[in-house]
Amino acid sequence: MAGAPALRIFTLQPSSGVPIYLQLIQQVRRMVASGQLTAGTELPSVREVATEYTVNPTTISKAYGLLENEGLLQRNRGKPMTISAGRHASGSLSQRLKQVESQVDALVLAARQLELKAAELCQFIDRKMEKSRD
Amino acid sequence: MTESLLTTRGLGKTIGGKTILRNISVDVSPGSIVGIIGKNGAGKTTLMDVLLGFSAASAGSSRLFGHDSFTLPAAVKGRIGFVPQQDELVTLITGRQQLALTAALYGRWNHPLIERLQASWEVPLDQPIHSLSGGERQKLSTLSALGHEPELLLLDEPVASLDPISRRRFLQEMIEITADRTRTVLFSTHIISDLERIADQIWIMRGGAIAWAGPLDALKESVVRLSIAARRPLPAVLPLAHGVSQRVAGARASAVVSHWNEQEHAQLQAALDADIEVEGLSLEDIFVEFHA
Amino acid sequence: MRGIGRTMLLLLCWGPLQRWLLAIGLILTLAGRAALATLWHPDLRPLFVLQMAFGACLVLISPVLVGGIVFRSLSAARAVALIPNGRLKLVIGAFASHLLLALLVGTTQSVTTGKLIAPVFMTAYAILSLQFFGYYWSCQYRFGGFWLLSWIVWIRLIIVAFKAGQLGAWLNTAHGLFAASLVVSGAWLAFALLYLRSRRVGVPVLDGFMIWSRSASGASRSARLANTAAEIPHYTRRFAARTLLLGMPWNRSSMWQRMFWSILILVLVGIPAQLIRPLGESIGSSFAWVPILVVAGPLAWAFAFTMTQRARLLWLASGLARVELFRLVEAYSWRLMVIAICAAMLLTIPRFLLAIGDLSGVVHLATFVAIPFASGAAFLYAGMSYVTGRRLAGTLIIIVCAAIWLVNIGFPLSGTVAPAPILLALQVVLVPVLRALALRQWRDIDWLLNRPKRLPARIA
Repeated sequence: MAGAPALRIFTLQPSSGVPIYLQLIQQVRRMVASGQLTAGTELPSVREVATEYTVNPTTISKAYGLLENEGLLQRNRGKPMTISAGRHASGSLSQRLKQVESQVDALVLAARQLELKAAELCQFIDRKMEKSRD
Repeated sequence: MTESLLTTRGLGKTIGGKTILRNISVDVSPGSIVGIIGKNGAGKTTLMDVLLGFSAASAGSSRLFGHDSFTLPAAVKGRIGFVPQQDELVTLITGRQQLALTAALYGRWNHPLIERLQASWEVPLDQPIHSLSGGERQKLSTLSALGHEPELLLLDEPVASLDPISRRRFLQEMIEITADRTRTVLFSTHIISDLERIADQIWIMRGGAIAWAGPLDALKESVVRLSIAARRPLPAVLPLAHGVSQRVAGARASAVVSHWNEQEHAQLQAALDADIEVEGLSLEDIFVEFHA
Repeated sequence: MRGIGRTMLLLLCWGPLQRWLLAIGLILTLAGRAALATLWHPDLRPLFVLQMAFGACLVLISPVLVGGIVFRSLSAARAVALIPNGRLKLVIGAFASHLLLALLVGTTQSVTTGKLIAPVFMTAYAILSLQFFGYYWSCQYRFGGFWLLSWIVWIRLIIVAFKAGQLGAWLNTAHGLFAASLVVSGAWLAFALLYLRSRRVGVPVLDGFMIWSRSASGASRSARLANTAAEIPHYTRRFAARTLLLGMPWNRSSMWQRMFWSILILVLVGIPAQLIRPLGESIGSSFAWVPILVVAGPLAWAFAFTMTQRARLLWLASGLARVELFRLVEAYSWRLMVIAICAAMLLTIPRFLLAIGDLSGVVHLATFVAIPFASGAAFLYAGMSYVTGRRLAGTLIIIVCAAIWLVNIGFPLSGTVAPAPILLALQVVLVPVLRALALRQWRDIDWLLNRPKRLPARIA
């Protein structure tokens, strides 16, 4: 059941090197993937987030807009935005892979520095994915 | 669709042989919050004075609401609010009387708004102004520019003397003001963390010219720090298309570049045959790098 | 040493206008001196003498009129307490700069009138020091500007001392000179000791044209503006514009109160001045209007100049165009000037009435009344002309007005009964010309350079 809009569910750091809208997008994605935000949960409105965190509403609405394009969020007329049911309705394999590309790049770099082999890494990833399914 | 609120083309200002502003060409569209940052003496105050018509430009043009700045008609002036760096309050009277003077001159005044802000910002209104502290005077100065609900609000270092709580409240009010996308705020400040919160456009002024004018998000994505680890020694000068600064030591290097994108990343990686780690920079770091 | 030198420089020429005056004054004096020494065109000798005197006056204007205030601002800056021997350097600087100024007066006088340097130097030094001490002391208080009016009394005393008390003859003797130098040095020593020992130096009160105190209870009570209701009081546009221009609330009741107090003080100061009459001097009406002239010129300039700067505050809020603001500032400057001149005339009327038999006709009477207004108006527009980045034009206008003003004063002091009507005609013609010039300057007025300044912040 969709609960009342939870206000402080994000952690926004204006002074980070990452733009605020990007931080918001990444956090929503992460929370949806980990199940923290279930389908139908209402998100606080742009105005509410802007006031709560004292940030520019433009950047919030940009983030919401991009998430809506991804299919992660659903706009309901007159009501707050909600997490859409069903994941990534519009996401081919290559598009989805593209979204994790930066994390994979970082992983590959770290593996190189630690002199891990590709096979060892893949085994490790398989084990992690099995565990998260539980 | 959007009439440009403020447009300058090649704006320049020279005083006594010294060039204070050079070739400034910017546009401001309604609904944005523009933050202007620059070192002391970069020309921020002069820019505001010339934009508002206090002083004539030596070169180029500046237009507000479609009218030339130096000869603004009365109707346009009523849509503008200005908070100067050095407050221009009448020191012998009380704050309440000062607000009354401003209300009388502008003709329209939003009393409930000012009452709410006066209570929330804790501005003493019944003491003579000369007995107020610098921060209280600044708050009063800001209040008197908000009462007539201007469409364009310019503030020159409005929070320099304020404590963090007052600053936070001020920022919240700025967000409130521009929430409906019809009113615009331009403010110059040294407190860069404030800008990172609420500005959507940033102008970086350096030596009287604008070194960067554009969205804050674009700025943060465009100016990044690279940590390069190559397999063989790097050239003394890296082939960076838009390098801001660089340090090379053998096979490792660190560089700050602007106009960064995927293409640049791929090209550089191929050219140097190296691993490149990309790190975003805070606005303060970006500002420091621009002046390195 | 550098601190002392810097103090002297600041006291002698604080601000670009004063620097121009100093430079031009020195050039005129030195050029005149050179011409006289080398006997170049000996038939033009009186002109060179006049030139030297005028040059000296230009140099003296700023230190005499604002020296005390500048010194107080310098002393009040908190940074001074942190500089080792900061205050000592300041007071030595003041001492030295007044010595130099007195020397300038002495040499100018000796060259032009052949008197010995030493007595003139001593007299000038005493007078300059008195003005400095007095103004320094008074400008921290309410009504501080009224110190300048006390000169009406001091000048009388000096004239009496010279004519009846044989002060001039006494100064010519060696021991007279020695005693005088002891007195003046003693005064400086006393001043220095008091100054160095005082714990805190108050900032000069400059709000409201150097006359009104900063104490709010005085201002708001007398103005009766305080609204006990919790809301913002309701003012008219005209009142608001007037308050911003003048820097203080000015409604009808407060205006009458201020006029009453000003006139009362003027009368209280004026009566003793009138009573001290040099023995044997005929009651010439020509002396009567010197104080009026002295008041009219610089005061009108000060009003117009200050309001021109403050007009910046009205640019956005009132929505008025530059020409309309010009007219507003002009109107209020005229009003203030007329009030000041009428008050000064009231002061001298008793004397004037006594001397009415001297005037030989209505023409002279009209000239007597009209010249202060014409001179004041000229200074008014001169004050409004100093507004763009091109400072030279503004400075030259002021110098022209100053020259005419000094001629106006010179006339009665030189003994002529009444000024020539041609002098009035010249000034009356000059006023519209100056107005046109001021209007033209205002079209390019630069409020970035001409903003109301805050004195202590600037010097510190």
